[in-house]
Amino acid sequence: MERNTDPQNLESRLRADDKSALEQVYKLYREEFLNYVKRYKIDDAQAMDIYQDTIIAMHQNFVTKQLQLQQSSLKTYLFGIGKNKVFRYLKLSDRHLRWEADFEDQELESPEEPGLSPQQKLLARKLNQISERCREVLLLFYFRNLTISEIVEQTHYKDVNTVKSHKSRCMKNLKTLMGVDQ
Amino acid sequence: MMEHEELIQGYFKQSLSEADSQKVIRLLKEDSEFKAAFETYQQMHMAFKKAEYDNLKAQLQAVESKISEQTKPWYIQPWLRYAAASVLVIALGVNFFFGGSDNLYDDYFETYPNVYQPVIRGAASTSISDAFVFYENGEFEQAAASFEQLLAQQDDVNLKFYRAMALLNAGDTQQALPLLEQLSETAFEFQTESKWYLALTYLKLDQKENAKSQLEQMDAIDAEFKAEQRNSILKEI
Repeated sequence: MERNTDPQNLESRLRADDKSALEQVYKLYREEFLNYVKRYKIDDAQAMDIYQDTIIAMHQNFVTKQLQLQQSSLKTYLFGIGKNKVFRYLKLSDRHLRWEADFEDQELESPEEPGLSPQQKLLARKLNQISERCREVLLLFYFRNLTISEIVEQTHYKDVNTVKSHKSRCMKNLKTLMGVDQ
Repeated sequence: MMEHEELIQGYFKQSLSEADSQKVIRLLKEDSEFKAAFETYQQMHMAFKKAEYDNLKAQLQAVESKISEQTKPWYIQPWLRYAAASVLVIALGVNFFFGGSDNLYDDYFETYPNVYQPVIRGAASTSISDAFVFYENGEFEQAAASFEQLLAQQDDVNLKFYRAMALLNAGDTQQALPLLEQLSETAFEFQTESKWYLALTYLKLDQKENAKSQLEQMDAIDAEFKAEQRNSILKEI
């Protein structure tokens, strides 16, 4: 238990895309974060939403950039992201209020999907439909930005060429899948 | 010299040097093949980001609903409601299997009053009145012993009845039972009462059929006596 809550250990588990580490961090700072957000007069449901988005943004930074926190603690880093999200939310809702008359039907865009094209949204849905093995290799390469040799190190693939051929086969499948809906 | 693939991955990883970043910008303008590869990568990266976001959001919402469930008052928390319900079921079950009849005994048993011989305070004590004094004072073991001595001198069905009552009150079911069985078949002043107490004793010993039979027979002798209680017991067993 002590080993698992060790910040260094948590960070390396986050880098390795460990979802249980994510839950652990979520529970660890939840109370404090929600109290912090209260001062901005944001309602509970919205505060919860911001906290969840903050946790996810933190996780994705660890996962895609292999983030190593040099000077700040995990908590400082998390609250830093959170603060940005709170301000962005306040700014957006403020603007939304002032321009309400002009943009009545315009939904507040989630900060997590800035200008995601319909094509990207469709692709995102398809990525949850392809085979587990295809999803894994594509995720490691395109999302986590691991090189082909890093993928060989971290998975059961025999060698670089196997990864390459599997990856290109999976991309082909995905393109076919996308073609069906286009 | 970095491969194109490495440059693109480095760009999304934000790990490129200033020089390599400039190179990416230049290649995007000049190299259409690089541009296409970059755009495919970007599409995939953004789509995964969104897909992962959706999955993680669902995961955290599930965590959250668990947390808020734990902070609800106990009777709103499903598992505690079930726990409370099962305790109740277990309690009822235990009661049903082990203590049910005994509880009926306890629920319905009350000391039969001394209607046989009023105790006259200060009167010269006879051994019969001694026995009833013990009985009325709740000293049932001594009362039972006194009735037993009296019965050794004279066979009296009413004294037998009070001996049985004293024994029941003293908790001596084993000795009371044969007395009550005998009395309930004897036509005398307290026959209905005898059947009633015999029925309760049977319930205490978990002999439901015997109890039921006694309770049903009471109707023929005295339909009024303990009618309400008898009906409730018959419904329960």
